[in-house]
Amino acid sequence: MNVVGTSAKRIDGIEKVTGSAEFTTDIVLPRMIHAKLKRSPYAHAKILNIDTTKAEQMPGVRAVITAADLPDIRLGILTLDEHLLAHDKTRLVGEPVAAVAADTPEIARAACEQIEVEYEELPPLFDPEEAIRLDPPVVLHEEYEEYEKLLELAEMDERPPNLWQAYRIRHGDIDAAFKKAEDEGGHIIENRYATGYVHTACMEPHGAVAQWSSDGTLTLWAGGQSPYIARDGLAKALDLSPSKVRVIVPFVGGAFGGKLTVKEGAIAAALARKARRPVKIILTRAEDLSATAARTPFIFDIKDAVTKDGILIGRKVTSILWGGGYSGEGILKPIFSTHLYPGSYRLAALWVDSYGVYTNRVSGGALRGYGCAESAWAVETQMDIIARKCDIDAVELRINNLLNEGERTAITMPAHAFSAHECLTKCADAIEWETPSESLEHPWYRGKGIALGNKYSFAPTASSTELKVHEDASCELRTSAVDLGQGAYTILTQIVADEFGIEIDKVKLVTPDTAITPFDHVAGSSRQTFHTGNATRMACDDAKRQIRELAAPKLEAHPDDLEVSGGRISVKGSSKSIEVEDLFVVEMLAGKRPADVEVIGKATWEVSASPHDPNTGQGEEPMAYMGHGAQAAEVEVNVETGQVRIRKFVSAIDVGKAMNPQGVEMQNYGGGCMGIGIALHEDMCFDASGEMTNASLMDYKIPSIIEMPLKEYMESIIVEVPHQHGPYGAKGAGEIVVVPTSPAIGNAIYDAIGVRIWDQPLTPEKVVKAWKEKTASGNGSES
Amino acid sequence: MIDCQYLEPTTVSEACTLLAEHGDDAKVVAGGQSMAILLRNGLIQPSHLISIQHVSGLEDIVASDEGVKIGAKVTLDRLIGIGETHPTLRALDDVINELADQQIRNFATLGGAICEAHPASDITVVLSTLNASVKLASAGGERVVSMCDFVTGAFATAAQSDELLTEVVVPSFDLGSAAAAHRRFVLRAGDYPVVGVGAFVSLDGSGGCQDARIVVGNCSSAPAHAQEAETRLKGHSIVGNNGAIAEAGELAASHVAPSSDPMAPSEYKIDLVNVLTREALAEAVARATG
Ligand SMILES: Cc1cc2nc3c(=O)[nH]c(=O)nc-3n(C[C@H](O)[C@H](O)[C@H](O)COP(=O)(O)OP(=O)(O)OC[C@H]3O[C@@H](n4cnc5c(N)ncnc54)[C@H](O)[C@@H]3O)c2cc1C
Repeated sequence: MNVVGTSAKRIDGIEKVTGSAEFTTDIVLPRMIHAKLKRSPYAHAKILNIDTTKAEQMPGVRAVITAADLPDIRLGILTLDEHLLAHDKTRLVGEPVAAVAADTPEIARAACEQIEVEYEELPPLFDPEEAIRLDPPVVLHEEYEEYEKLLELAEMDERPPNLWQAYRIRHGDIDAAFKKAEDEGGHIIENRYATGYVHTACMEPHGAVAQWSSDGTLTLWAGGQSPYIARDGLAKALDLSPSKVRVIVPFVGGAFGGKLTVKEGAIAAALARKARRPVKIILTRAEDLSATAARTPFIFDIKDAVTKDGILIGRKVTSILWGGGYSGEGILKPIFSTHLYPGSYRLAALWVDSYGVYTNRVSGGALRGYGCAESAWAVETQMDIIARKCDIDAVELRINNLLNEGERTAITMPAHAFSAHECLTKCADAIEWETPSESLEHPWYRGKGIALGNKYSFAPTASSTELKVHEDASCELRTSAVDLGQGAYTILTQIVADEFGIEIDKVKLVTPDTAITPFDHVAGSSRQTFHTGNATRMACDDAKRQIRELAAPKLEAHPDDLEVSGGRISVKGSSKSIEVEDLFVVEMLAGKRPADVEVIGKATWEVSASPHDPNTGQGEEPMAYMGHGAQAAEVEVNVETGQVRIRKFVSAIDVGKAMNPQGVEMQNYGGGCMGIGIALHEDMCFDASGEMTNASLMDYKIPSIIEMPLKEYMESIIVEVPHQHGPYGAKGAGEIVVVPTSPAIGNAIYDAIGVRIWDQPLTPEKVVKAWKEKTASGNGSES
Repeated sequence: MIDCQYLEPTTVSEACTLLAEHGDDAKVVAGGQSMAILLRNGLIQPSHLISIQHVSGLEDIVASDEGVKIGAKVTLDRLIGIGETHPTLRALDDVINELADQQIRNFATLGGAICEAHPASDITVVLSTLNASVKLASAGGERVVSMCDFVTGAFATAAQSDELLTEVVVPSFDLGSAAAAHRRFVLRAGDYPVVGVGAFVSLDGSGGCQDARIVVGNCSSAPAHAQEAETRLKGHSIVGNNGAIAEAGELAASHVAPSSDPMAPSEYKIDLVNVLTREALAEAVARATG
């Protein structure tokens, strides 16, 4: 039975299409009430007093909480800097300061308005370059030094008081590289790039339902990315033992990195405890967009030393991640984004200083591509500029700089299953790279661009699964892996079907519930197919071993000589066999006694890694694997209106082994669409007070299907270079699909009209401005 | 939850009586497409919603000597392709087809599109370009207001709180020598435009411009005539005169002072006024000569 490698139908498809799939918002419990949050209108303010009396007296209000009702515990991923409800200060517009649970959401909202908060406004700080100064105008976290931190920053003589991350790479002789470029007729190319404010804007907003049982156990239903991160976060926030918290993950309407923690779930839980009722909280679209973590901007200053033949010999980068009021889930981005500085290229010298700073804006979170989609913007635009400067074809230039299989990058990541070359050339072929774009009539211009990318999957990490075999030979996989829409449940089902040689509909999934399903780290970092896939295969093996042992006496054979497939156990090389069902029949008594023969396979798949030295960025193998991909775009640009149409888009990604080719194709298309939105359209805007001004889907411009290229102009290419540790050789596909998109489009715009726009998104207004500047100066070439 | 009373009159006079009774606290609701957003954003808090869903007599499209009369309840969906049956309305075809989306167009009414008075509205720009007027009914009688005077500001109209818009009248013009066109620029399909421009020209026998109307949307609180550009064209040669059209574009652009918003900065809107004025004019001239 070869189910792995086929485009098996999505096992959640029917439920989702017919509307019967249960999401968090569908959950209704007896006596359940509804929560709303009172949020800060100020970006930076001291909280002097909170008066909840009026709200508490409103009919229908069941509980009101403020920080005073919660343990005085700061939370965070690695730097614990954030209270569940603002404690003494608010550090961003929209930060929750109080919460109400009431019979209806409307009463809860009205009650929030009755809560009187006395603030003392403080000057806000929005500019990351001011924030990073040693003497910034404003300090957000006066007590930073006392915070609990699980991470070591690079050493500095003096820490700028708003800094929460500092990481360095010191590889090779950087001065020698620049000198060589200078002395030997090479080039030094220096530019500044920036990315924009992007939100995951999932179809399903953040939400949760919390219920306490009489023994003090909390059950939380929330559509998050990791039931175990959620469980531990809830336990920490509410000062409980993790065994007292049960997290159940219903279907999830998208996450993309935005649903790693369950802040609003923890608030709902605190309300539920006080009200002694189950509490549901569902954020409005405006709250979701303006007050949950976003992909906050990076500023990159990048300087490359290149020989005259276009060989990259040195790179120096300074980057600042424009963080928000709290370090949040973005905490590792200044580190992980550095993977793209060497990217897939050989670099003899690499110096990086990477920082993250607090400002009074929305906190930085994860979003598909965690740092790499951002740094790729700078790096892959640089590669295009270098190619033009050296007068070498942009594909050829990249190929000339690629690593070889077995080499290590400047940050010690081994180039294994290294498919950059194949992705790049296949992508170039599909966009007909050799053929220049046709000329159109003014004001329209066409051009092509290409970019390469890779995406690590982090380590250390682990996934466990359990596989129960039932007496009808069907299999039940218990996993805490989450299907966020990416198709994880289908892939895992395919693996079990394949391993047991049974039909897909004989595989059942027990989906994430920390009371039942074993640990799985997170549905993030493109890790589910790779890690949970491995754990699933191993659990299948373990279950099959148990079956063989049970069957051996019945078949009078050694367990090693037995084979389990299609619901039968047979002796290799003979016709002797029994049904799996036969194992469950106990002869002495009538009927089956499954308790006697419980077959539950168990496995844990683990990848270890030790963190790199934050002062040098050097160490052992830092990540679980590295996935590769290239994308190319042909664009049409109107220089009068600035409109950019994607005429053709190609995405070639290496997944090691396409476990479900249609699933990979959908990642290529879906990721491409998301990447196009990030490159051209999406931009969270803020006013001078720090409030988001386009917090609705009408105003925050997620592109519609009409902005996408027609299907026949959107090409998905699957490359399969097996990874030695991947299940069936597979690597993940979820994030690489957005990594090269922006630079591919930006490079195509340059090819079309000869202008660079350095800061994302590349909106029509910026295109017009850049074109006007170019025509005013009469200068089309780059320096 | 919106806390208000929902009333469902069945005739214009019943609706007018209710409006007179509840005055400022009442709001008419037609297709509800803008109303839902206004209510959600708390921009209005009516105590009574007076639905005209069951009011009869507001859904006809009739051609007469005066021009084409369109009932207030005619949906935008019904107006798709209207230029084919009523060629003087062809400029509406430039936009209706891509306005919002099909689900919205199924409910959205022409009356609602006008009374919403959104500063970025295309409908009010096109109707002003076509020199249309609207009929307002109240318990006290009827009056007619020119589209140019109807929208008085952002989300503000000349209609009194007791008045119901019943009909739009688009006057006739000589299709052999005059035409209108509309051009807009959106950041994303289905959005309100960043800028919209309507142009109407009527030609004399020798390629000269007898009359011109150029109306710019979303650069001020209400659709605005680009008077300098209109003056530049009137009485001058326009057919085959790209220079005159380009000048009109520049003039229109140099006389707008839009404010910046999250969608676009002022400077970019000004650029668009230039481009779109040129395009709308060129298309109107092509239609008038074509
Ligand atoms: C997503 C979206 C995108 C849009 N994009 C565009 C666009 O690009 N260009 C454009 O021009 N328009 C656009 N629109 C506006 C759309 O045309 C209007 O929402 C719609 O036509 C309103 O009609 P309605 O019947 O739904 O009005 P309602 O929502 O019912 O009413 C709107 C307003 O008009 C008043 N009203 C309605 N009928 C009458 C009447 N007969 N007499 C007096 N007052 C009345 C109401 O009291 C209310 O204030 C868009 C709307 C949406 C929702």
